[in-house]
Amino acid sequence: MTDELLVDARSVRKEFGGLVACNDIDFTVERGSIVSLIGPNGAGKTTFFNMLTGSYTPTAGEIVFDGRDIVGLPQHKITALGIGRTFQNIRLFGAMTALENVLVGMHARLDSGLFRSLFRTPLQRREERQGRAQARELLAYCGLSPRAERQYARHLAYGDQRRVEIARALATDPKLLLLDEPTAGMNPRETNAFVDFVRKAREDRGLTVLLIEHDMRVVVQVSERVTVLDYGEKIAEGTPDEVTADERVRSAYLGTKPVA
Amino acid sequence: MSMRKLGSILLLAGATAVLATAAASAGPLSGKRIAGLPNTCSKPVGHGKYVIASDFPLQGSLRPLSVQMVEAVKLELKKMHYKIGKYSVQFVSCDDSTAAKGSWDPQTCTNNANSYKSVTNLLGVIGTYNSGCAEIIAPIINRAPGGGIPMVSPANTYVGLTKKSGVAGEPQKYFPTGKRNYARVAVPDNFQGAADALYLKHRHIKRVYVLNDAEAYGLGIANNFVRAAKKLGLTVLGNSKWDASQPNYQSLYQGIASKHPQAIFLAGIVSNNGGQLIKDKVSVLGNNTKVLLLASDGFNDSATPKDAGNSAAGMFITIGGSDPNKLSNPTGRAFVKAFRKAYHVKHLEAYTAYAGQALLVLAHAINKSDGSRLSIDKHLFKQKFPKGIIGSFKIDSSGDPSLGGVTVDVVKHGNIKAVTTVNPPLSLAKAALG
Amino acid sequence: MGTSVGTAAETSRRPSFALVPRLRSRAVAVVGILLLALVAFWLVENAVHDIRQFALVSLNGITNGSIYALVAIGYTLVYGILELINFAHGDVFSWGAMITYSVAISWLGASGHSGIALFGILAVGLVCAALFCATLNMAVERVAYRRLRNAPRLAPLITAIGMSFVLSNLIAVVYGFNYVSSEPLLPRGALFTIGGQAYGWDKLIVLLITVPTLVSLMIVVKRTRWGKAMRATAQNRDAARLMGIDVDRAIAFAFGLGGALAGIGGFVYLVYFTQGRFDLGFRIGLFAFTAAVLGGIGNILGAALGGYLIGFIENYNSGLTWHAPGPSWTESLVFILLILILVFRPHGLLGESLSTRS
Repeated sequence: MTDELLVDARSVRKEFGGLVACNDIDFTVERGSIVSLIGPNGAGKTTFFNMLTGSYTPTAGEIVFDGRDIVGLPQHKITALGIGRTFQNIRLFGAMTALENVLVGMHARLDSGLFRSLFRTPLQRREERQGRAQARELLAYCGLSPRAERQYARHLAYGDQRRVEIARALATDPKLLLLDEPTAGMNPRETNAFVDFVRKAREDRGLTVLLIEHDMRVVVQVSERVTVLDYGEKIAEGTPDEVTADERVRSAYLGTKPVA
Repeated sequence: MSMRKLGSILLLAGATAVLATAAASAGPLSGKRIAGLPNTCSKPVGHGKYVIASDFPLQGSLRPLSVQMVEAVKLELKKMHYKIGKYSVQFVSCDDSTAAKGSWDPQTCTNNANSYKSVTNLLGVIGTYNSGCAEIIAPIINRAPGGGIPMVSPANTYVGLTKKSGVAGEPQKYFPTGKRNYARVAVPDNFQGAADALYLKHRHIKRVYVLNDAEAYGLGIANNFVRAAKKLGLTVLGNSKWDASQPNYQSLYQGIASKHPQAIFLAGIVSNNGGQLIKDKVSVLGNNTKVLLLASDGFNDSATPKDAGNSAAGMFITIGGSDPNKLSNPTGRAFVKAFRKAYHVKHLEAYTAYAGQALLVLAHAINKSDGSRLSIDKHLFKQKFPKGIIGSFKIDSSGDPSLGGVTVDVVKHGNIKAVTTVNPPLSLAKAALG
Repeated sequence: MGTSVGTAAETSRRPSFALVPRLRSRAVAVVGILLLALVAFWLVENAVHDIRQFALVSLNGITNGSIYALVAIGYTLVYGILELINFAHGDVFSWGAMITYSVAISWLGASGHSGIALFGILAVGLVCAALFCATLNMAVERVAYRRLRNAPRLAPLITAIGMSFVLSNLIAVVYGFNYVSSEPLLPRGALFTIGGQAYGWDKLIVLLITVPTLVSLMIVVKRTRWGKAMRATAQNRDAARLMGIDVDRAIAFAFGLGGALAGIGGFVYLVYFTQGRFDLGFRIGLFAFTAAVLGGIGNILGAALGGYLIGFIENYNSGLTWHAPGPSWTESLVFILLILILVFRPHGLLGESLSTRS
C-alpha cells in the first residue's frame, strides 16, 4: 500500500442472507482525487458507501482508510478518522436550525467531555463562540444565505437542505467526502454550479471526493476516475473517457443512454 | 404507539402488579400445615381434632398490635391446655395483609375466607382487625357447608357489621343465610363517635372540621361523630375526604383554615398517609394546642408518633374500650400480669386484652353448644360475662358488647398514653347511629 | 423552540397518542371552548370568592408542580430519544428521596443542625441523590434497555415495568415497607403572610432549587455539545452516528440527565414533605408521565408545563372551597384532562405548535 492511496479496499464482500450485494470488489481512491461510482440501481453503490462509513460491516475483505483498517470500527470512530457523507435522501436534524446541524457536525472535533460540557467554563464559552463562527463560515461557503441559518432545517427549501447537509458533512472535517447522488433534483444551472463547488472545495480544503452519480454529464465533468458496478461486481474502472468507451459498460449501463 | 396499544400495556402493567403483590404476600413455607388453609396461615400450635384460626394484618404498621392479639389468643388457649370442654383444638394464625401494601388486602381477605370454608373441622375464627376485611370474610364464611363459621372480633368497630348503619342492606348483607355467626367484643364506632364529640364538648370546642379517609371505617365513624356533635350543639364546619395517595395536604388545610376551626377530627387509619396528614395540619393550622387534633382509633398505633414525629405531640386519639394497661377488674389484672410475664413486654397494645376476651367468648359458645357450628353460632348471642377480662358485660342479640367506655389517649414524647375514659350515654350513641 | 428532543418532521416514525384523527369540526371546537370557559369561570369565581385562599393554593400548586416537572422531564428525555416509556423512572425518583434520607438525615444528622451546617449537609444530600440516581438510571439503561434497542417495541416496555418493580422492591428490602420520616428540615418561618396564612421559606427554597435546575437543563440540552448530540440522536440516529456521535453515550447521557433530575426531585420531595416510602414513585411517576404526555412527549418545555399544570389541578381541587370536586377526584380530573388534550391536541400542548412553527 502506498501513501498515495487514501482508500484501499480489497476483496470487499457483502452478503444479505443469500444475496451478494458486493462481490469481492477491489477499489482504491487516490489522495486528492475526485472519483465517481456509477452503475444501475441495485448495483451495490450505496452498500459500498455504507461499508466505508461503517454502517455495514463487510462479510469479508478489508478496507484500509488513511493507512488504517477500518473494518469493524464503530461509525462514530470512522467519522472521527475523516470520512464524511451526505445521503441520497437528505437526512438532516429537522427540529434543529441549519446552524445547529452544522454544530452537531463539529461534535467529534470538539473535545469537551460528557461531564465537562455540563459546566460552562470560559474556555467552553470561547470554544462555543468559535464553533458558531466556523459553522456560519461553512454555511456561507456552501452557499446558504445568512437569513436561512436560523431556520429549522425541515423548513428550508430543498436546495438549501442539500447545502446544509454538505456543510454539516464538511463540519466533521473529513479527508474523504462521500456524496450520494448530490445533484438529484437539481436543474442544469444548479448542477453546473455544483460541479464548480466540488472542484473548489477539493482545492480549498484538500479533500478527496467520492460520489455516486447518475447524471453522466456530471460524472464526466467532475471526476478524474470512474468505477462502474453492476450486480455487485466491478465491471470497469478508468478515466471517464475510458469508461464511457467500454463496451461492457455501454451494454450494461449506458446502452440506452446517449453520452454527452 | 396508539392509545389502544398504550392501554393494553397499562393493563399488562396492572396484571404484573397483581402478580407481584400475590408473590409478595406468600408467607413462609413450611410443612405440616392444615389442609385447605393458605400459606398466609402459620403452622398449627397445640394438638387436637379441631381448629381455631385468627385473622389479623401481620405485616405493615399494624404488626405490633396484631402480634400481641395472636399471643393473647394463644395465652388463653394454653391456659385451657388447648381443650375447650370436650373438644381439643389446634390454633393457626392467618395473615390478611400484604407486605407491599403494609396493611390489610381485600384479595387476601377473600382468599383466606374461601379457604376457611373448606376446612370442615374449623370451630371458629378470631378476627379481624379491620372492619373492611370483616365485611369481606363474614358473608363468605356465613355460607360455609355445615353452618356459618363462628367469628368473634376483638377489634372491628364498624357499626354496620351488626346493626343498621344507614348503608343499604346492612347488616343483613353480611349474613346471606339469614343466620348470624358474628359477634364482637370491641366497642362499636357509634360509641366512639359519640365519645369523641362529648370529649370535644368537655374541652369547650365549638367549631370542628372532620376529615375522613373514605373507607368504610373512616366514613362511618366520621358520620357517627358528625351526628353526635350536632346533637351536642357543636358546629361541624365540614366533613371531607383526604386522598391517601396525595403527596401533601397543605392546600386542603388552607381551605379549612379559612373556616377557622378550633379542632380537627381525623376519622380513618394512619396507614392512609396519616403521618403527612398530621404534619401538614401542624404546618398550616398550627400546633395541637392552638388547634386541637383528635383522631379515631385507626390512629391508635405506634406508627402515628413515628410517622408524624413532633407534629403528633399533644394530639388526642381515642380508642373503643378501656386501656388494657389500666384494667382494674381482677380477671383483667390477672390477664395483664400473665401476658406481661409470658411475653416479656410492659406495654399492652390497644386490643390485646380484647383478643383474649374474644377467644373466651368463642370458647364459651363452643362449651354450651352441641358441637355443631350452627349451635355454636346460636350461643354467641345474649350471653353474660360477669367476670370477663375487659370487665362485666353482655353480648346482645346482634353480637355487640354492652360496654361502651372509650379511652382518650394523648401523644406525649412519642408515646401514646391514656388520659381519661369517656362513657357516652346510650342515647347519644344511638343518636350517633342516626 | 429548541427544547424539543425529538422532531415532528419524522411524523411517520413518531406516532402520536391520538385517539382519533385531529378533530377540526366546529362542534368539537365549541365544546372545547365551552369547557375551557367553564374552568376559567370556576377559577375566577373562586378567586373572587376568597382571593387570599386562591393565592395560597396557587403557590402550593407551583411548589408541587415543580417536583412533577422535574420527574416529567426524565420521561420525556428518554421517550424523545428511544420512544420508550421508562416506567422505572418513578422508582428512580423514590431512590432519590431514600438516598437523601440516608445521607442527609441518617448519616449526617441534618435534623440536629441549622444555618450553614444544615445548608452544607443538604447540599451534600442533593449532590449524592443526583449522582446516585443519574448512575442508577444509566445502569438501568445499560442492563435492561440497550440490548433490546432493536427488539420489538413491546419488549423494552415490559422490561421497564419489570425494572420498576425491581427498583421499588429494592427500596423495600433496604428501608422496609413503612415510611421513613423526619422532622421539618427546611426553615418554615413565614416569608410573608396572606390573610393570616404563612408562605413559608421552605416553599421558596423548593422553587430556588427546582426552577434553576429546570433552566439549566434546558441550557444543557440546547447549548452544550452533548446536549446537541442527544438531540441529534433523537432526531436521526444514523445521521448522528455519521456526525461522529457515539450514540450509545448520547443515550446514556439522556438517561443520566433524566436520572439526575429525578434524584433532585426526590431530594426536594424528602426535605419538603419530610417522608418517603418504597411506593412513593408510583403516583408521582404516573402523574409525571401524564405531565409529559400533556405537554407533548419529547418536548422538555412541555413536560415542565404539564408538571405545573398537574400541580395546580391537584391543589386547586383540594384547596379551593367554591364547588371544588374534592381531593378524591384529583386522579380522575388529571386523566380526564389527559383524554381531552389527546382528543383536541393529539401532540400535546406544545408538541403541535412545534411542528407548525417556522
